[in-house]
Amino acid sequence: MKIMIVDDSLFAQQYTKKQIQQKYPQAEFMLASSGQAAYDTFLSRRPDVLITDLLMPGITGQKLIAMIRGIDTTCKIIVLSCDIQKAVRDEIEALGVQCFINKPLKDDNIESLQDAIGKG
Amino acid sequence: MLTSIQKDVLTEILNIQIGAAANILSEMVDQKVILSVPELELVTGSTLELDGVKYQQIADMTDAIATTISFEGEFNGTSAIVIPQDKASSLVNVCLGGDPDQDIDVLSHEYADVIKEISNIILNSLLGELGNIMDVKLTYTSLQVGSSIELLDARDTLPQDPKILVLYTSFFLTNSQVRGVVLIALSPASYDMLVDRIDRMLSDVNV
Repeated sequence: MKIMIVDDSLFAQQYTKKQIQQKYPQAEFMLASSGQAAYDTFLSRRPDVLITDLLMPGITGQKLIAMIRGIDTTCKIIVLSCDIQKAVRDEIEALGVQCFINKPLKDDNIESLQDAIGKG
Repeated sequence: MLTSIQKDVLTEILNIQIGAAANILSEMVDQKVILSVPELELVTGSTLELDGVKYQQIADMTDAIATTISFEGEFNGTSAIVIPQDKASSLVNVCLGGDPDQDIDVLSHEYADVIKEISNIILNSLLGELGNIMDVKLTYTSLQVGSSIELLDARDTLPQDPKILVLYTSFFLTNSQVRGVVLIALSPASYDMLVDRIDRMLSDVNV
């Protein structure tokens, strides 16, 4: 399984990767620090799962999701964000994401991610 | 001015969210977190002169690390977390699994990134809840981290004629104390909107 993590924070990238790696030790990881880098990597490497933050400079997570959904409907997209607003969650879920998880990824919410992408 | 009962409601709302954010932090660093009771005050002014803020406890805030986030929409303003340099170092070290007392340059890219991410969690917890209780959507602009003097004294950082809610908080991790100030600078219309919502909450419970 190819998993791409998109976050402008390197700390958040590494933290998230570590948490997921414990559940998916065989997964291949790709890391991107911006929406544009994520989109470019998506086109060239076509990950099975994309996990993205929302608030990023330049292309935001929301825009990235719309761009990817414009060309691909099979990649599983998980939003991992600090944003706890119901209005934002509703708006993002309408874009066709598999699930919306509040940061950070931890034992009690990683199950939602596993439910969304399978047990690997 | 906030009445004491309005202040009580707002402090309670923010306190719950600080607690939620501290709980997240606790899980991230795998350490118990003990919270202090936060205090809230309202200040006004076109810039935030931190050394003028009354609280003795934050006298060192002018030489501190600030993370700011602005939010747009019907409810708008700028919020910041300000943490003294030494406490910020401690927090970063703990998050990276190191010795809390290790001397580091908190504003170097690697470490500033950690402060930014932790602040992001706390600020989203506070501001997101304000958005939720008022049933409005806040659109965040990107986060900035830097020295408190540079970020907060800039006149374009804050809304015009802001009403600034200042929340003093501290929490203790197993090996270190982290304390800081959370600032929520609102435009006058947003402030009125928040006060109005608080009044309706009070009215709902017949207070």
